Amino acid sequence: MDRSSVTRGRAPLIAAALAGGLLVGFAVAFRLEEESRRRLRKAFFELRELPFRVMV
Amino acid sequence: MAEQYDVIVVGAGVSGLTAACLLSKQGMRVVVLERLERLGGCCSNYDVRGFRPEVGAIFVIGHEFYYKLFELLDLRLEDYLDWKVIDPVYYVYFEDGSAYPLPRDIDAMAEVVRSISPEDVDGYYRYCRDMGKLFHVYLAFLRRPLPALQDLTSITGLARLAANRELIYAIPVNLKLLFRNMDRCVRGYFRHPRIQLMFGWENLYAGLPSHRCTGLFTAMAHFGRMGYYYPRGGMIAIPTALARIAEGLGAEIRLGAEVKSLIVKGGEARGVRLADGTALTSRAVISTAHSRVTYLKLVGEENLPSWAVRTVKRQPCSIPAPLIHMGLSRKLEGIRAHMSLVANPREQVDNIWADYYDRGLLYRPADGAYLLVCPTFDDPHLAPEGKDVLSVFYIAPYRLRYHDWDRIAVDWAWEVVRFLDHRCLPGLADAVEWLDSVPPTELERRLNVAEGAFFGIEMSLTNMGPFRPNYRSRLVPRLYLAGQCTNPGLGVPGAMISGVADAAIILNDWTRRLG
Repeated sequence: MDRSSVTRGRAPLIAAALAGGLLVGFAVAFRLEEESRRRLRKAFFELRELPFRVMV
Repeated sequence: MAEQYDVIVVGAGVSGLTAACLLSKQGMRVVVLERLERLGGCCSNYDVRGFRPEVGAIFVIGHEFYYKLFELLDLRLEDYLDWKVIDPVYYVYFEDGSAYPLPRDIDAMAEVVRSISPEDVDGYYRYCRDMGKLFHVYLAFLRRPLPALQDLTSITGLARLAANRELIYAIPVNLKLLFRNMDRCVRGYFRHPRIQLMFGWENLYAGLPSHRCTGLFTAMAHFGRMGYYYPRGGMIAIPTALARIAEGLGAEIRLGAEVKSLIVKGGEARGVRLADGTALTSRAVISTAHSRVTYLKLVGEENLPSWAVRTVKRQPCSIPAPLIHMGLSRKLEGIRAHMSLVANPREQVDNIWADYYDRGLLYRPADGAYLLVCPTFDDPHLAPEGKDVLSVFYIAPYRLRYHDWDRIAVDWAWEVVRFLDHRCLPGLADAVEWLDSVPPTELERRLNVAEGAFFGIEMSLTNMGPFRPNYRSRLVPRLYLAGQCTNPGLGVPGAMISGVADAAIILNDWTRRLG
């Protein structure tokens, strides 16, 4: 069995783990207090902006 | 067609004037264009009936740096500026009416700490030891001779400047402060909330609440103890001295010359157009305006890619520092220092940021924290004889959710005055002869700073270093940026360092990029 077929065999598992992670992430995010949620949003916003800021 | 000037500097603040001095010394034809009728931008004083309050900057930290700048100019600082050290550094008024001085002397300060919380004395000495390591790095830098201007931007030049043993000893402290927020750093040294407040409110200068502010600002209280300096004649003495030097070296300084736009040809900055229609051409342009003003108004959105417009618009400004300036008909006994902090319990101060600043609400005056600045305490000539100037800084949002600053500014200012009269300065309300309330919107109009934030762009980790607008614009060739929005940001020496950096970069670019 070559490496690509091993990866293909595990693909559903990886997808399920990612989807599970997403669900847990959303669940945690929804349970956060407003202040924590605002900080998280701000952190994601800053992270997204960084590469553009370097270019200005 | 030959250019009229080698370099046009937009803005006669300290960064622009520093660059003008250094470039003129290299024999370049330089013109400095200032929109207002006075020098200095945010580092200035204005005059109303003999009262001369500060426009923005209120003191200089690490004045020794100026000696290094004057080294580059082959001049003696003493011939141009006369400093006075501010001592006590602050007076703190607490909510129960008690007041404490913060003296410069380390052991005298330890006694103040002991009188409030004896168990914090050890933490205080630990704090002094750690922050002292940072201060020794600074002193070691001062001892070294500066390389030539054109070597200041080279890696070897910077390495030579930075190479000292003190820097190695300070690395652990630096890392600790850099990656922790200020709130956590201060709590690591002190237990009593009042002592935490005394050593942990300088985040005001970063324009961020302490839990979002980098721990490096924890060092400011110690640096203050090493010396906050005030130039005789007010903060305007600094730009005035620089303008004198620049003109002596051949630079031209035009006041009341508003720049309407940059002349952009082939994507490059080739000069400026003034409000009266005059066009001036040059090989390079230095803009000391806020990056939003530089890119969105002067360069123009049509000359920039859409992602750049979006990025410039989205980069957060630091908070505004709204002000109330007052001329007092007599000297008040309650004013016991050049600078005073009127504070509430630490949690309440934090709430101002969390509940009010983030949500755009204005608080009741009694809930606020105020920095009172009385420049006449150290220089009586800034007011008519027997009178005082008093400025009040406070924290407030740029946009109010339920009010309009322009409508409430004066009433709000009088409410603050009555509160201060009641809390710590009896007789203040009666002594006010002249009052000027400068809310963020007015600050924006007067100084042309985006969102009235004269500290420029937010001083958070994601807006410092490479994430601040570059000295050499990556969007518009031949355009250079200086001032509070560039590195290192924050404060008068910070702005001047950006002027030195621009001069060094332009000098290096002269044949390669600007020929």
